[in-house]
Amino acid sequence: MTVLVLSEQASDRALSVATQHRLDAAAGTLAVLQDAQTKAFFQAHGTLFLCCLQNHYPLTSVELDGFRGLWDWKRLSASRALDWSPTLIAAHLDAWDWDALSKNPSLPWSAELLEQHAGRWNWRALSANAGLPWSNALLEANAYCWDWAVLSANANLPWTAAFVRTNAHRWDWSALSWNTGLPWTGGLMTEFAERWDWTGLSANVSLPLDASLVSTFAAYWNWSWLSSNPSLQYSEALLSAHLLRWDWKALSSATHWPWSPELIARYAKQWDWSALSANPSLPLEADLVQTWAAHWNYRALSKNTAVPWSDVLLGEVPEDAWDWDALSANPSLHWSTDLLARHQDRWDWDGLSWNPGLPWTAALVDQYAAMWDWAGLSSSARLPWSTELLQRNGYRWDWERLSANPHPPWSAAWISPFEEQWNWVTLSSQKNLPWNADFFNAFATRWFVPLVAEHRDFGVRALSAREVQALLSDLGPH
Amino acid sequence: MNEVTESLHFSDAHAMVTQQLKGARAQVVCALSGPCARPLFDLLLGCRRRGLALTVVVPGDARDTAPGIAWERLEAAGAALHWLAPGAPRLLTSVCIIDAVAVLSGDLAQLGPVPATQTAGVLLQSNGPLAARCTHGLSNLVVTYPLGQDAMAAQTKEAAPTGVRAELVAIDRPPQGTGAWQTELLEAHTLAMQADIAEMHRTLNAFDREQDACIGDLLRQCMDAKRLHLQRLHAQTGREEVRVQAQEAQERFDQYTRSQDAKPAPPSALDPQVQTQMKQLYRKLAMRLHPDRVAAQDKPEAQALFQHLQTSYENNDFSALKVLQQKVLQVPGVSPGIPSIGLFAPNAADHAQALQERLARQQRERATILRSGTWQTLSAQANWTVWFAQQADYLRSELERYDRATSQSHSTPPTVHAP
Repeated sequence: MTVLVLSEQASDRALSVATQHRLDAAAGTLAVLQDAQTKAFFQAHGTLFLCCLQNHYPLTSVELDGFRGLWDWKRLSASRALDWSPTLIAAHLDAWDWDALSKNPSLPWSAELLEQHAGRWNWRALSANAGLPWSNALLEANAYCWDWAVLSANANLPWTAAFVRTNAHRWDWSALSWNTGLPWTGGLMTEFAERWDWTGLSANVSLPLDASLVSTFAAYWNWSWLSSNPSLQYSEALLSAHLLRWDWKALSSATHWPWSPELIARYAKQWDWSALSANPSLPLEADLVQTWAAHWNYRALSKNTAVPWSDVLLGEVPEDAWDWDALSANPSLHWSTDLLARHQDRWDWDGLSWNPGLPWTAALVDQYAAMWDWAGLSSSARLPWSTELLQRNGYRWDWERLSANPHPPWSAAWISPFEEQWNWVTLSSQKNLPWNADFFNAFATRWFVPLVAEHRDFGVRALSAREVQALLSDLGPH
Repeated sequence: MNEVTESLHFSDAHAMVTQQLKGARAQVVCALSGPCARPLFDLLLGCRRRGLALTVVVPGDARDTAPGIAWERLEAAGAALHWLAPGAPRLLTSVCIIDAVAVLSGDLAQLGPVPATQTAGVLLQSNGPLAARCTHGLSNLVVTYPLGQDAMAAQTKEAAPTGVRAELVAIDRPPQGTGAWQTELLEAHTLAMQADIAEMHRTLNAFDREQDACIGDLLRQCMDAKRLHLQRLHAQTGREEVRVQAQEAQERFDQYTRSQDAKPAPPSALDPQVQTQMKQLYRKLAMRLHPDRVAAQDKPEAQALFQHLQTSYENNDFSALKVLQQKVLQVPGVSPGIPSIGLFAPNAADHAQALQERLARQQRERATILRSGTWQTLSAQANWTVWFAQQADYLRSELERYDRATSQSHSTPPTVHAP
């Protein structure tokens, strides 16, 4: 026990009493100031205040009743921040948007709540709601209300073989076949072999697709979909047992297989070499490229990011063999200003403009200013962003894409010089902007307030219920 | 060789566990100390679907308290699912061993994608020998009883959920020392939590220093102006609520003034790289020096060294930490590799109980810091300097308000109310 006492003392001492007092006193003083600033900010921006409240504040019956005329009830019904309770729901029966409520996972969902308003819910929306406490009993109690086609696609249900069996007459078997939530076993598949949609099963990533299961249902699979299924567990036996059934083009594109030079050699005649050439999971060492030089589809290889790109490799085949459009968009090429200059007439400059692999500098942008697709540049994460760069090429930029780009150094100073160019709807939805009261105030008349309030609360949650009610009263008649 | 590392995760626990489980390559062993929530269940299911060997040990009553979890899905996917017999002692903490190297422990079962500040956190330790001890501990603990062979099997049969072909498993009567691996995990958790709290204290100290340098004088002036204004207001109006406000303002001013006077000389600021190195060294030393982790005869010295460690860290004193590191090598009982006393304590149950209580206390302490206004401010501000500049503007305008109110009060009745 000595040790415990020591730990506590040590912990207390880590922050001295004087420091704690100083911090508390400062925080108290600043909090009062902050609170006053928040209130003043919302007093100046009533619409923003209302939107922030409805999106982010745990409103209660007191506010909802007291200021009934101010609310957008559809927005409130979809809110995850409201102080949801059965009483709150019951108190405003005719005001809620019941479709939005039925989709809202934040309600205090229970069998009783469903029962209480059974005639109001949108049962189709409820059937897909992940927030419900799904159980056999819940499903059975409302068996005739649920939309069983939607339920069949819902992976969150308490799926068991017995559950599938009990409700066999209710399922949409096509939706069920694509559902990844079922406890898939050979037994379950056999039991309802004639009911399953075998294309859905063949594409279902939850199936334990080992050699045994694949062989058991060899006559049922959609082999094209099965060949593309990433859950297919590679084995030599699996491949060789169904040599003529596989869709080799799909297999050649598989990125999750243990690709090796041996595997490639063993089925060299079966592979689709175009698909194989584009597969980025291949161990494309120089040797492998050399060994199968006559087999590769160089146009497909041009888009492959796993190739050990070099000048030597590019020169090994005639220039026309490469797909220069695909090469231009490939970020893994050995990009340099020299490489760009050497094949200037070969490149697809649209593809280059969207390529993050280029050695982007302001000089490079200026050097080929007339060649770029400026839509690509405007969306780039790699450009060396500066106000000068924007100013120099003002008319060239795609301001719509630029407004949506999260990567530039967003600030009031970055936005100000180009106030007329920005798309303010897009900017208002941008979460990466340095949102705070000062930033909002700098362009207060430009913002699309409901869009801003979708993702920013501006400290509304720190306001007390009394402060909220006072601010609501200031908004005028309601 | 895998490097031994450890890190404690709170609000990002779900993301970290997801990353670890999705990165698993061969084998996952997971034992839960309580009911399982959906996110972990889905992650485990995902592991099995990727072909990983998966063993899951779950309390027998988990099915009653975790609606919507169909354990049959795990079994159907090929996982080895074990139900603990009714009455079996609960595990002290949930544990997940990944690829025989990474060990996750803590609030595993209840973690969710929405960050929760109240979580006790998830500890990630990348440590092969520890993973082996945990795996071995689990396999020793779990005994399989063939159906109908004895009373325990009959008892367990009732615990298995309907329709689930769960293995009938019970926890054997714990022999001396059983559960040491669980105690070890708890102990690591408390140490990591302590390091985390120490880091929070260090951050608060740094914030305090910067706040004092940037707006300390303005704050003091503002508090002073407010207290004088309220005192005058009370003298003029005699209102009771103003008297209470004036008293509060006076107390806050006194508290701030006294604490500023008692302020020690500010330690030198460190660049971020040195700060990171210091943090790592602190955690390393805390692991070695904690009095819980040394033999009884070394405790007094370890206690002194541990206290010195805390003070040095608080004061950003990197050189003192380095000296301490040298010193640690000379203390026989606190050299690395010495197992925790908890592992061999004669009364392991008491020790585990003490650890759980300490963890709860630490959790409360951490929650108190998280709730404090200062912490909420400093953690919300990416750039403290910008924030202090903004506060300085507010404080100056507030001071002007008080000045105006004071000048008006000399000529007319007061019209300004305290904020």
